[in-house]
Amino acid sequence: MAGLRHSELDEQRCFAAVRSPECGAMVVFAGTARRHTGGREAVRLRFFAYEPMALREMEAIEREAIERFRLAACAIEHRLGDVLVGETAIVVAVSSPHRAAALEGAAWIMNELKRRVPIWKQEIAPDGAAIWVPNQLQTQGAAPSC
Amino acid sequence: MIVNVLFFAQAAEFTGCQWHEIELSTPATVADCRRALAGTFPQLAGELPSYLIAVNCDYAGDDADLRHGDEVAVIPPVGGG
Repeated sequence: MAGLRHSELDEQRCFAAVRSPECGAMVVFAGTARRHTGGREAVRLRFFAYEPMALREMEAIEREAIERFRLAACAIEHRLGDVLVGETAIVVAVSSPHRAAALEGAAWIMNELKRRVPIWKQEIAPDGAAIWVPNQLQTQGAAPSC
Repeated sequence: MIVNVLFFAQAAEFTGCQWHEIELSTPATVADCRRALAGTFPQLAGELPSYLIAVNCDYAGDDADLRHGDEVAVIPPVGGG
């Protein structure tokens, strides 16, 4: 289950989507909007997406994670538009029979998502100034899936 | 052939538009499209080599072939998550 939402995310919905009687472990990761990054202060973040491709990449990451870590289920939701400091911008939920796969799988999904899903972030400062903030994981010029 | 090029984030700020139709002579590759874009949008030319390209929602290398009607997206470094 992959989704892009313009309203507040619901961690419980993602948890419910992956819960299974065959699983002994569920992990939910919530990425939240942070006030300070380096020396900069933000009042909110603003996310933009190439929506059809972002959804395709998120669904591909889910399939790959399920196969690679033998997860039972996986759910990713990313918020778009304005996200106030403290609010949730992304939720990743996974379930597996044992905890190691769930913990490792959730971390791997976040790394892949930050590397290749076409979503962009602006930090909005208290004075209203907006700057684009790319993820640090992406090396310039590297083509993730070709 | 004509391809429809989409610009996102900083790329859209450099071009001043979110999409633009580019005419390329057939056959054409992603590299040909990059050259045409740099010529049409000199403000984009400096950063364009560091941006990824997607064709019809899949990342594509410079040697990938283009077809008439393809949707080509210019993808600056991503910031999701």
